[in-house]
Amino acid sequence: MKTKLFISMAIMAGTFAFSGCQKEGCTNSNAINYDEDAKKDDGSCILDTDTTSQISLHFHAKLGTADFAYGTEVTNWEGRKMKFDIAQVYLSGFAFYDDNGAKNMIEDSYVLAKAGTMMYDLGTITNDHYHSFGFSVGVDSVANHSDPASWPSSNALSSNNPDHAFWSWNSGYIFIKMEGLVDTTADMSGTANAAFVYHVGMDMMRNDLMFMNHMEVDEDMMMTVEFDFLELFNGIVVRGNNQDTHTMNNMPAAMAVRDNVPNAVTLE
Amino acid sequence: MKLKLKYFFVSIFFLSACQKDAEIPVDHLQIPSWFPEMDIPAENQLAKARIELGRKLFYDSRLSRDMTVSCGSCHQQENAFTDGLPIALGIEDRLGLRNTPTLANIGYTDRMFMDGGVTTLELQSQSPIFTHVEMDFTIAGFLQRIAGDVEYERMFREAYDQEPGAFGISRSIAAFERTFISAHSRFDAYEYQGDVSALSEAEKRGRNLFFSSATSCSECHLPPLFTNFEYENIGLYENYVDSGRARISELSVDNGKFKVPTLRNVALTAPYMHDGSFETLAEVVEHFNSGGINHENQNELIHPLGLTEQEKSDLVAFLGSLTDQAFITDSELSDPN
Repeated sequence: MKTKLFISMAIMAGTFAFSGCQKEGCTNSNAINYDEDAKKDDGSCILDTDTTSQISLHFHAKLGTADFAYGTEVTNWEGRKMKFDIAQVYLSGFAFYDDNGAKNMIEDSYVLAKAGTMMYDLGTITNDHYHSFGFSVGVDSVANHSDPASWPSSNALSSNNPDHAFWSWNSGYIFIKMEGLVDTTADMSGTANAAFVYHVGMDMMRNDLMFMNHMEVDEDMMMTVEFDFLELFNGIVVRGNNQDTHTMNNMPAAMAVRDNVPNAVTLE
Repeated sequence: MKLKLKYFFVSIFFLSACQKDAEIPVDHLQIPSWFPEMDIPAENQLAKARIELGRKLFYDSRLSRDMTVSCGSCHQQENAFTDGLPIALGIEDRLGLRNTPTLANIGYTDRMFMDGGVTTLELQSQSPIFTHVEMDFTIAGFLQRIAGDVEYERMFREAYDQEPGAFGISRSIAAFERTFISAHSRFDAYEYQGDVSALSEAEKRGRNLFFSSATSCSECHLPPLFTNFEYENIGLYENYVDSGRARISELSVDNGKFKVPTLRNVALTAPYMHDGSFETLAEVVEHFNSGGINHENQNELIHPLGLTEQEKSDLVAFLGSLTDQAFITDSELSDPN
């Protein structure tokens, strides 16, 4: 009798112990079985498709009026020729706002959007009538100073991500990363053959954008964002000292890119 | 009563099973009684498997883009984990920003780099991999290189119960670096273990000067770690090309301030200063004797000392007594590959 009781207790203790370790459950607050104590999603979330919808992002990269193309010579605001080899940007904090301004955030919606890759899953949102849609070009300050190795591999912020862009110091993620070639002749008569490197980051470089866009969310939908990488160079003479910025070493160039972001992004 | 006790132990057994074996602290930290306790993150408690994985990664040059540079390239054990260069060199001999710091007792600080711009060893251990002038690579790229490496897969599994990834890389290198404890110099034998013959007469005179108000060296280079981990401007330049702590804080009062380095093994870590501008300890001592350039942020303890040649020589002798031969020859810290 004692032995049986002992075994039962042992099993119960073991069950308790192991389940206590995992702290797994549904971490999606939009799910009907959301578990606020769960630390790790176990894939058990049940979404009421009558009340939530899946939102995806269509990232439409552009160079001026043309669709983005790597290695293709384009002409910037000044008439200077440029070619892009790398063009990527961290987008985050995707949220819908109702008529009263209440924010309905898509949780953990971090995207590393690359020119050439169009579709990204953002997450789920409660069905409703919304007044506007917003997101950040950059990363919120908490995540920006987090450890990139601590994010799940599937997250855009994880350093397991092949295109992961993060600085060594406390500056955090490289929000906008652009590299390529540029014509550096004074009269702009040459070809794009000199390297330019634009790495823009730090908390102060984040842009929080909001778009008025009355919409009924009652089914899965796609938000199409146009992002004009050439517009980011508007007003910048990309030669000499302005051929590169790693933000800290050339703050004016980085700030000029930041200030161009609102004009570079449109919601279709 | 006996039965209750048995259930209690059974429960304890299962609860302790929450911690994988790898997470049970092990005796790999040989911390002497005169050293402080070391804070170790709960998520990265030391374990043999973790330390061994970190050690293997520390010396793996596949972490760099062209596979020529490992952590151990700049942090060479025989030089107390420095490289003997004024400024560190990365892949393709790319010139870094600063002099390579020693890793002796690095586990005792939450201020990484000379400007304190990174606050955990777990984050710091990733930084050289990303940095253009160091390894200029990605963790994803490294993972591709070791894909199918049975030994690495086993080691990551044993250490963190995970596939190879950024988490295990960053944590294990940090775990290995926390074992870099240097506490067995002749100074330690003299000061803390009662061996009065461990220091020469010149070293003893230098020791007395070092700890005296005549030099105030120990105000910042505080034993037993020989640093207080604060940021100080010691009056090297009127205009600092490298703004030091101000690079992070963006405060003018921090311009030209750098983290006070440990002096343990300092005789092995030439050249000195953040930019490697002093080649010898004699030059360093002479700088402090001169009182510095009188920069507006200069620590007030830096002022002309008026030391004699004998006193300067004694100070240099004393600094030599901080060399820890056991540390630089410890086979547990060497390249296992």
